[in-house]
Amino acid sequence: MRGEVKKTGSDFFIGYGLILPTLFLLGVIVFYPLTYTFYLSLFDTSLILPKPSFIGFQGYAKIASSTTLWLVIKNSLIWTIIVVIFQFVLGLSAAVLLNQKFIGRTLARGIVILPYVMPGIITAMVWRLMYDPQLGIINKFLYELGVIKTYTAWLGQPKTALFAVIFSCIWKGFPFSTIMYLAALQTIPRDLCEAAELDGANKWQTFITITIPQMMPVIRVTVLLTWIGTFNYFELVWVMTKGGPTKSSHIFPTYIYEVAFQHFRFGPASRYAVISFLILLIFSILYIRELSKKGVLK
Amino acid sequence: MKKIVCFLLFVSMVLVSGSIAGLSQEKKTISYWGMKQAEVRLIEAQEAALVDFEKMHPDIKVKITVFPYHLYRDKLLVAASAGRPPDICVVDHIWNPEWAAARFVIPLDDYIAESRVKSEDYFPGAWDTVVWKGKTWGIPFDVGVWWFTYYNRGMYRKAGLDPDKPPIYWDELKQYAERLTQDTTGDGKIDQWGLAIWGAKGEDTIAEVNPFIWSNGGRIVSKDFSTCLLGEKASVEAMKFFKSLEEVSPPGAVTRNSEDAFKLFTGGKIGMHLYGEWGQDTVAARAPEMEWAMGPLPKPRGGKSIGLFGGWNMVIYEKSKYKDAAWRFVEYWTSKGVNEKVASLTPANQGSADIFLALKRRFPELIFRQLATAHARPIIPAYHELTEVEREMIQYILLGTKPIKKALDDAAEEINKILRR
Repeated sequence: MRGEVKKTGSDFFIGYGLILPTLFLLGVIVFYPLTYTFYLSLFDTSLILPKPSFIGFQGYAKIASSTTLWLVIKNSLIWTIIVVIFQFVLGLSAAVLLNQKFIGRTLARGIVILPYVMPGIITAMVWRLMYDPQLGIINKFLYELGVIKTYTAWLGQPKTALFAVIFSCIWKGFPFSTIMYLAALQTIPRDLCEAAELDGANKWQTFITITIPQMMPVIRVTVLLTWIGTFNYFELVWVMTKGGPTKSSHIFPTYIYEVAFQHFRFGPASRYAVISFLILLIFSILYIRELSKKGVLK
Repeated sequence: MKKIVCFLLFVSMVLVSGSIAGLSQEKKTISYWGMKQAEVRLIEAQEAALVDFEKMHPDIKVKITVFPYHLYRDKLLVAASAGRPPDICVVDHIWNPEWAAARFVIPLDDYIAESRVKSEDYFPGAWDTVVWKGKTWGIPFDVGVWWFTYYNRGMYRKAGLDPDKPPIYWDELKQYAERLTQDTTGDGKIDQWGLAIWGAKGEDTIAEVNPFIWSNGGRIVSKDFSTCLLGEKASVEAMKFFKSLEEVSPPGAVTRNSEDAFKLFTGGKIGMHLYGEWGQDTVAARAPEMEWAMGPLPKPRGGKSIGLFGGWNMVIYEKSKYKDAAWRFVEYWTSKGVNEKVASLTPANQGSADIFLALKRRFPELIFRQLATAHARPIIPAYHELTEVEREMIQYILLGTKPIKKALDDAAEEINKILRR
């Protein structure tokens, strides 16, 4: 029949032959480290043990009964959920504003992207200076406004350290969401919005019933990418607090780094890495399944 | 056929004789890893000492590689774990037993027995750091002691304090700090403090706190390293006093490290700073106009002034192919006459230290006295785990999250688990 391509045996081999280099690369940089990390998680290791000793799942049982694991899980979830929500809200708001026509729009679009392009280490160092209890401008600003009565060590208290870093992470990351949503807004056909206005819908109703549904595929992908990126984010937390004080701002990446490369204990670090991977995997599967059910995912 | 055989024989003879000639002239190249130095004169002195060594030992060539301090331990660990360490390096005192337990380095007792190296030539606290399980795993290279009381004489005068009388006792330290803590601009906010204690993650937090405990007669662990003694009365009293210094320090001690506190001192925001003797160069560089002096580590009434040893030891790696050559370099580099020229900190060799301090430091007698009585931190391979627990304990106390006695008892319980593993 017209248009039908008949597949032959050699097509099969050519096809797999062409993707073999990619599979090899994936194997080396993804599957091998994943598998080896899981393997290492079944051992007890330290610099002063002559050989790693196999302990099976006992290591997992031990960390499950420690308060540290649950603290790191709690911190990681608080960190990720708040950052994702606020980056979505701020990103969408900025995108809607930048989609309007006004003088200086191009310049504004350039300025909004600046936090995203700034290197993470520089961002962390600048925010750390801004949060400095004696010299930082945040304390000076809040004190002058009467919001605080004394200068506060935002990064030095367990109750505020994580939230202080969350604030800087929202600032750093929202431009990514802005770019994605701005691009999505510009693909929405204008006649849909005009038709809604003709039917008597106000701007807010048009936004909720037309704009957001049209943007859903992009929102879905952006939220997923933001979730994964935020959950695995390292440098802001490490440079600003090193997970302290007293582990109150430790999230999975910082704690794994500390245990692996500061304490040189790859067994326990691998266990935390496996748990972190499983949490992300479960979330991703549930998220994609939920969207498939709602017919959003095609 | 005959011609081919003759030709091949001739080529083989040329190759073999060339190799023999090469071997007989071959120098043993040993690699030495250390830390990056900023002082140009020190680098020049090290290069000159190296030239002298190679003249004395024409069969040995030394290749020095330096790293910034914050990368150094990671580089060493990766290289040693991968089986490709240098022949020799300097290790921090607190890493020495860990390196020994990990079988990275060799004991040096046989070499020491046949050399002029004697333990009594070195500061006792420094020599303690190279001995583990009855063997000697390194040679002390240089030392420093935490801490002295650096003070701003100008601020002392303005606060009505005698600039020639630094605090000797704990109560004096607190009183002087209270006098120095003031609102200098009249806006109702304190903008000058007596000192700045710190509690950020870092070994300098331990270096700041342990002298309080030791000076009050306390110990971190028992002499046989089997039991943690942090929960005892002497430690509780020491930590209560340490906590009380928050009242005369700027807020945010838990986010602050010794370098942050140093900047406050050279910036004229605090009147006193607790630091090691090597800080003298930094004060001179950052605040050349400041009229400053240095006092001893204050002690409690009825107690002693006991500082904490910091410093570096030279070790030889198990994987080194030229251990004998490496030993000759270690022996040379740590000997009197050389040590004082090539060390950036006070030499661990007491004779060298005398010369070094007289030439390069103010208050040499004070420094020498403090070095002679300083204590080393617990010499155990799992020290880095112990120090992590102690640092958290200090943070709990500074934050007020746990009462002092509970924080000490909880830390002792955690450390006992580490010691008994």
